[in-house]
Amino acid sequence: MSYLTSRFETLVMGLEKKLHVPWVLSEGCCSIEIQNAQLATYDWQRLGMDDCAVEPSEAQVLIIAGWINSTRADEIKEIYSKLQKPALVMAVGACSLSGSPYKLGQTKNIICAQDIVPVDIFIPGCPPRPEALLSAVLELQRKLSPGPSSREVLSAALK
Amino acid sequence: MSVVKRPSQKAKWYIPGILTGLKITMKHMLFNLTHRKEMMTINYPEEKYQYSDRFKGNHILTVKKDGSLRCTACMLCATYCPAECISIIAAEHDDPAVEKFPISYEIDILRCVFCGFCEEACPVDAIRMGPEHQTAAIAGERFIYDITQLAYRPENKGGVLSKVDDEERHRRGL
Repeated sequence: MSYLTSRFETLVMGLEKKLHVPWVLSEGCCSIEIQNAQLATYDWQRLGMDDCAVEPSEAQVLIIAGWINSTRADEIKEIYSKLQKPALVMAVGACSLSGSPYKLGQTKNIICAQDIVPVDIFIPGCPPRPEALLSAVLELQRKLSPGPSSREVLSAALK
Repeated sequence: MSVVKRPSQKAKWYIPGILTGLKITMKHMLFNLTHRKEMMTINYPEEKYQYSDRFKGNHILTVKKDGSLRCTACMLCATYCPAECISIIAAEHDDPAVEKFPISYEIDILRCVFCGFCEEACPVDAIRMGPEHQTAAIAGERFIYDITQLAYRPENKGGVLSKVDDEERHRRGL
């Protein structure tokens, strides 16, 4: 019995390790794509991304989308310091990665996300499709646990 | 004078409300279990959403019949690009029939906004917006796509043929 419970515990621990709680800081059209990836059509809970956290101290992944000015940069730095370690950062869209839709001509005080915090996953696009977000989640899983995932093993066995 | 209607004693019973909610949930669950093909969720890495032909995805540089790049390095796409993400370096070609060709064609994918203006500006159908969605990458990979990535990546299967042919253009006197 104790053996069974210990096996169950390791299973639960392994599942918890693969489940990431995000904290979404999104603005503009990228936020609509992120909501689309959370909803029923492209359900990202299947791939190990949980519902949004209530507080930044509960989250492990910080998702940045939309333009960043100096006020927002301070907010991002504060939230990044509160995240659970090891903290992961996902930057979505051209605005947060290079500021290119806003930097050209009109406004000068746009800051790139990789200049403030270390970004782990880059998702280009304006806005990226929900599939790009899902493939980013898969890349994140591959980065944290290298080697063939259980999904790939299963699909190879079923062929 | 306004009359305030307080909720009746009957409305305080919450169990029928919960049961109607659970009924809807169970209906959807049973439907999804019995009709696997009509399920709303797309199992992403195995199933993929079918986009229409006008979808603007990752860029493709088309090739001629002999496999070299169709691009003539006229710089129209780089001039027209609103995000200023395309940079081309042109060079002289050995063949006198070909005026010039790009030795480096780079797209900064973090700056690109996937508007499709480069595709509209191109007079010889050398650049197209492909059918694949944008690719996410972990930090440390290359974000400036060069010719090998744009024209000869494995999804293109050895290069996509351009619609415009050089010989036809010369025959028409263009």
